[in-house]
Amino acid sequence: MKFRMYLLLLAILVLACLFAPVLAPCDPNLAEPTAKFAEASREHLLGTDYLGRDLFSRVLWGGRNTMGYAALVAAVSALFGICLGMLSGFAGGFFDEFLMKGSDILRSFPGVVVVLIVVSIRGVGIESICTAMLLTRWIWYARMARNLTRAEMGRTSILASRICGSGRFKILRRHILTAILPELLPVLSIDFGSALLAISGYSFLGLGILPPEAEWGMMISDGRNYMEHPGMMFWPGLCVVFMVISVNFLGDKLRDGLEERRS
Amino acid sequence: MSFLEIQEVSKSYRSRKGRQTEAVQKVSLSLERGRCLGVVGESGCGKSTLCRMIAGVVRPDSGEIWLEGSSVREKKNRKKIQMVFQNSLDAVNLHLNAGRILSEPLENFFSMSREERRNKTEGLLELVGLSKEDAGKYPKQFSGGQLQRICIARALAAEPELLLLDEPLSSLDVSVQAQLLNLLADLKREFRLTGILVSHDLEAVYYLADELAVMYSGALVETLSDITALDCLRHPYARRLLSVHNGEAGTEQAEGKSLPEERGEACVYASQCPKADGLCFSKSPELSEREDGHKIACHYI
Repeated sequence: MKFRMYLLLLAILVLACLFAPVLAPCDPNLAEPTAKFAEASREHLLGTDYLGRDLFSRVLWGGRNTMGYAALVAAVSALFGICLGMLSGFAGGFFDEFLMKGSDILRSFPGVVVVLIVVSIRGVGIESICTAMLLTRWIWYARMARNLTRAEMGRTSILASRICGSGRFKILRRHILTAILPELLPVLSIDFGSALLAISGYSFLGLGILPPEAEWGMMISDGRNYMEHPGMMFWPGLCVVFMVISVNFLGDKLRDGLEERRS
Repeated sequence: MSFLEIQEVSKSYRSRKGRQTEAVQKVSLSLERGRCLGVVGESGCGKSTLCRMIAGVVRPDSGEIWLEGSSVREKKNRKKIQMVFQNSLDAVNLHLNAGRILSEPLENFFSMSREERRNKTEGLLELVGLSKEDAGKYPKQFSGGQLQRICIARALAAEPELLLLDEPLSSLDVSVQAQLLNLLADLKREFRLTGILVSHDLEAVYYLADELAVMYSGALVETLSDITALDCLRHPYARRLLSVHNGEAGTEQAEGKSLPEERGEACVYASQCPKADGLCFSKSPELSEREDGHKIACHYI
């Protein structure tokens, strides 16, 4: 099964990076000038980079950074966006209109511009990148959650629930959240992939994680200068590609599965 | 004062284009405890709106509905009035299983332990003719009739004093309708339920209800406190319904009379009525008592 394969791959990558402190054989930031560009060996599974740092350890530790920040951005923006969208859809009226018009205006700023603005104010660093991404990403969730909530509010089940004595909060939690969450999960999964790409991308450009910390995008960027040693670019690049593909695939599969259950 | 007292309630909806639709116009009714009222009328005549107002979830524009002297919109009446809807698939959360659907009113109205709730939901499932293993099934796994049984069980879970049935049978096929009608009749006997059955099917109403109210275009045109005297119906619209019920072709249908722009004071049925004349278009008839327990709104009867 193709799907199982991707899931396995995802699990291996996530677990390996999660247990980097245990699995990594070397300190990722420890430079060994005598062992620059070492070939793969028992000591250095994937060889070393231009400063003689163990690539395998750096890939693992770098994954922690890349995935951790991507997950943080995706989770916080999803949580905030979904809560706000649900409230907006549930309240309706002026509040809803105000919020949706506001998010339309915010959405008209390209994400890259927001990142550049935040970086120019707060300086280069992963915190700036995350802040900028949070500023723009919640809007998608808010809009989706709001529209799904509106659709759900039109169902008789909400009226039935009121007649059964449920209060607003209970209706939101028990009826609206349970109905819209399955629809939002695939989006969350795919969004995590895109956040991961964005974080690697900004670090590649030198706006995100600062050296000597390892991060996949930044490692690729470092590797550019030493094309004759492709391992430096290859391994982190491969990780990013696999990660994004398997996460997207997972999202698609989730969506398919949900559609099947609906019919 | 009766158990349920509806006093001149009106409700109108405004469409997006600003056109006003009078869903319910000055409807007054009363119902004694233990009786079952059938409300018949065609689709869109305001039956469902009336039902929702009685349930206390839609606020009337004017008028008030009282249950034992207190407004139905008061919180203490929440538990006493329960409702079953037309489309059962739309009336439940598709992501919750039957057990959780049934436990919702139990959580809200009673303080029960988890164990007690489980026993009670199993009891309710058996009460409506399902098995207790069905508690783990999801709405999509039930047939329309079974799901409507679950909705009935959910309404009964609150131990209501007034049960509103808003077209509970119309989305089901005929054999299932008959089964559910039997179930409702049994439940009505067993719990001495006071109920309101809203339907466009005179047959179902005749089977289940004790009293009858005929609605047309938002207004009551005839009420009968004893449904067994069905043949006494005299309002032209009620006669038409009855002739369909008896399998006769409706012959008296008048056509082509245009509705005046300002309906204002005209009789709701004037444009369809074979007997209508100038008076019917200029003045709306009052619902007045002709015999004991028999009210008609028509100038010429």
